[in-house]
Amino acid sequence: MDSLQILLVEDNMNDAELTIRALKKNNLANKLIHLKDGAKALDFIFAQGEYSHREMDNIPNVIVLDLKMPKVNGIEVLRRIKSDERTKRIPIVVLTSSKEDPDIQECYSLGVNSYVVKPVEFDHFVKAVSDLGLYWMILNQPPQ
Amino acid sequence: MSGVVSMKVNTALCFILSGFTLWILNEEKQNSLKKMYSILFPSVMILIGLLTLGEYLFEINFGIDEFLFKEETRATATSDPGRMSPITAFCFILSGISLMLLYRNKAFQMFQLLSLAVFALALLTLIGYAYAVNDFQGGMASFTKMAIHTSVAFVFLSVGMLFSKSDKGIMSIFTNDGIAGITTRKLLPVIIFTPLILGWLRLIGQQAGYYGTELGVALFSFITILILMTVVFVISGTLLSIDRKRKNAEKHLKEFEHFFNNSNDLSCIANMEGYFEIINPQFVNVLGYSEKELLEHPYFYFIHPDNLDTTTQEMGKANDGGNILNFINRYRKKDGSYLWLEWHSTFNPITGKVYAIARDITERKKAEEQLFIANKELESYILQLAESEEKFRMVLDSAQIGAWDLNLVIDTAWRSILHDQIFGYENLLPEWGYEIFIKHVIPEDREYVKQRFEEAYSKGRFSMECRIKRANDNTIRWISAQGLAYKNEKGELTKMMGIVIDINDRKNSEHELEVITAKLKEAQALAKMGNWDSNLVTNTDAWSDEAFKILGLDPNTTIPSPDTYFSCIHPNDLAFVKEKVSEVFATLKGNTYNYRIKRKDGTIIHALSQSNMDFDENNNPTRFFGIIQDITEIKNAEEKLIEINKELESFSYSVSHDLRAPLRAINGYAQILNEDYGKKLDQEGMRILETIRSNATKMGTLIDDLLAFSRLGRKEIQKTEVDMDKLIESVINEMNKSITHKAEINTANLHKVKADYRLLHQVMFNLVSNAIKYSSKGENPVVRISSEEKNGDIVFSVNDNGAGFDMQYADKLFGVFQRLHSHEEFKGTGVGLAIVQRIITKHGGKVWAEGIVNKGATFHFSLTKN
Repeated sequence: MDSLQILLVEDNMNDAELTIRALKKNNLANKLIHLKDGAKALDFIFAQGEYSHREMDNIPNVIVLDLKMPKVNGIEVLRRIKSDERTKRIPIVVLTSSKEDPDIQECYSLGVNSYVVKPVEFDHFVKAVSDLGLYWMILNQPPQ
Repeated sequence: MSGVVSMKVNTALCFILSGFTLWILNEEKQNSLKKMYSILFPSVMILIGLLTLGEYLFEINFGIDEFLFKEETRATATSDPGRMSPITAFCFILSGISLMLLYRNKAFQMFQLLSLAVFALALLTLIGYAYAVNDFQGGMASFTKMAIHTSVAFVFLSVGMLFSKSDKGIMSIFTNDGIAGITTRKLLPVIIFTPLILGWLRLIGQQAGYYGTELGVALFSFITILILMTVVFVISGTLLSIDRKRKNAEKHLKEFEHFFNNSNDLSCIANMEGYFEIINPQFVNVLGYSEKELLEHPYFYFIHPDNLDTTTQEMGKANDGGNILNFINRYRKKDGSYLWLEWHSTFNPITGKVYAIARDITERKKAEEQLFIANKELESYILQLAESEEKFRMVLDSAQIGAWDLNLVIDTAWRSILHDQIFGYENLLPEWGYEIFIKHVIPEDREYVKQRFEEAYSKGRFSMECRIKRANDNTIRWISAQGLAYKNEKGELTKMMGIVIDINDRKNSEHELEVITAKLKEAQALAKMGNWDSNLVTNTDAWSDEAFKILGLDPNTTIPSPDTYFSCIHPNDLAFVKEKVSEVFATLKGNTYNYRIKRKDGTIIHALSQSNMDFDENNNPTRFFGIIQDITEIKNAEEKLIEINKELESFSYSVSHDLRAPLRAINGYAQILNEDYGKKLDQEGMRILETIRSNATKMGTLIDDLLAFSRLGRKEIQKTEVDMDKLIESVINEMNKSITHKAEINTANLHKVKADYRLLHQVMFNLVSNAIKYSSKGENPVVRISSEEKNGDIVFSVNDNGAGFDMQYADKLFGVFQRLHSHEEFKGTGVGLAIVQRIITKHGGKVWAEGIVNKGATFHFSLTKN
């Protein structure tokens, strides 16, 4: 079975497309799953609901998480994953439009591994996404 | 005289010598010449006498008898012519010795004996002459052979000698004043002359033949007895009367003695030598010494040392003939204590003695002293009274209190001047009374005043405040009158007294105070702020009405106390409040805190407490005071503000998140269009695509700046000491990383300030980047950063030599989105300076700018030093 490499949680289809496009440019989008809200993300991670058939120990190398999402927001998703023994070691990168201090503070206190603000400028955006993809997928050594 | 013995020359000489000597010796004034004579003359007499006797004994003639004159041959011769008789010679020897003794003033008994012997011999011769006239050649005369005048002369000489010492020896018997003297003087002539004369008469009669010898003797005896008896009776009668007088005198003396001895006074006779001579027993009784002791010591010995001088003075007066009356001195008793004695005494110059009576006046003196002390006390009491009255008056006057005292019995009214002055008179009116007083009271107050006076009758006192019309200027003034009323046992009003004070000023200030109090109350009500005051010395608490109101208590029924206060506090906050109160007591410093009150009706009040504390020099708290403010509304507003802020935050969040997403999409898809379909677009198509992208980018910047600006409003500033040199260094480093420029940046040593580092960093970043931006078109852009201290503030300036600006638009520089240049000229959103102003304003500082078009601009901002 192919191991999952990136889980992208993003409700904005435009942003998702731009992100995937940027990752593809670096050949990092082969093993990417895109989920459109937090609830789905949680179901997926904890192999419940519509993903209950999934094996739970097939964990992604990194989760790229948007904050502002319908149903369950990113903060909540982050909290749930980081407070569960089984999932807390999964690296999570918050990729969001919000530069707001409280969001950043909260994310870090919940144990986020990276916090990246989406640049408006497309070049910058592509560069940022590429960098984080390369970093977490190639440079970073996850726990075995 | 023939047949009669004549006096011889030597005899006459001797008489002259003896008479002269006697005269000299009785002279009061003596001198050496006289003394010499008084020895020489008797010696000559004795010598003549001895020589004459020698002639008789040895029957020789020394030739002295006719040494001076030859005796007449006719003269009756003694054994030899001119020679005195041996008896005469013997008498002169005795007389001479006698005179010498008289001169020596010694052995007066011997002298008197010798004188008497001369007298006896002379008398014998005289009697011989008297009775033997016819036979004087024989018998007695022949024996003596003394001339008759010689014997008479001898009688006179002897008597003269005897009387020259009349007060001594046997002569004192003759001369004394007593009975013995009287008797002797009366008897002696009778005894001498009676037999002499009678014997001579008997002899004459017998010779004439009137009677014979027998009858003559009988007659002589009878007459002698008769005369002597008569004399004895006469003398006895005299003696009897003298005796009676004496007895009488003795009786008086006894009585006097009785009086003297039993007198309660001390009586004495003292001499001028300073001793008592006689003292009465009272002396012994009173002074306690024995009589012997009193007589032995001079009387000054007993006198108190302090009285010696005065006593001496008084004695001097007495000596000058005056009497001493009521002289007082102190005598020491045997036991050492002193007595006060009052003396009356007289000095008798005849006896040279002082007769004195003294009375023990110690008790009187004590009483006098007590009286004196009592008098002194009384005097000082009166003085004190006068003084205290003076003080009382001063107090009244200085307190501007008028006093009055109305005697209703004699209908007089005493007032202090101030009393009448209060009613508008310069000086005291001639009279005053209730009627005059009531006339001054304004009609509106008269009824009230009358009632107060009527009350005074029953209560004994009154107190009132009323208005009077002053006599001088007719102004109406408030006075306060208080007084007491006194009744006699019949219940009649006899006296009223009291005070009057002009309280017009006080009334006015009372009114002012009322106004101020009302205003304060209003202010407290408006501010919903009450004050409280806890006197820790008297343990009393005072709360303002508003304080009661805030606590939800009724000021009329609640007694303020710490416990009452604590009972109003929300149970959840009680421990906190108590801790805060203890903190004030522990630190002696006031504090401020918020808490909640839970009123009895259940409403919750948010309150602000600000308290402070007074303490004495020993750091003992004396007063705990402060304010309590109902901040419920503020609190609610704050909560609302927090809510609004939260809303604003979520709005910003939305803006930040949701506005940027489409921009990113525009930008991203434009880029994708460019990447994937760029070859299909012509140049115009590419320009339009680029315009879409750049506007989307600009919009993103605008949103970012706007968010940054709005974030500032919510941010709390955190001041630390900022090293501006380091801050500028960091700003320039950061600047160089993000933009390329050719500007020269000069910084001087900058002042350090207390500010929020990050915010100040942003201020400097904005100002410096502006300066670089606006000077970038010049040839030699220079940016200068400096600071100076001005009026306690630090002023920082950032100057450039760039585009500058027109000063008439200076006020628009700091507005949000306000720009003086087009985007094409200089890029920018118009938020940078707005951010600068907001940050500096938040720090309590000011921002301003100076500029000249095309010459450059200077931006200043000031920060307080601390």
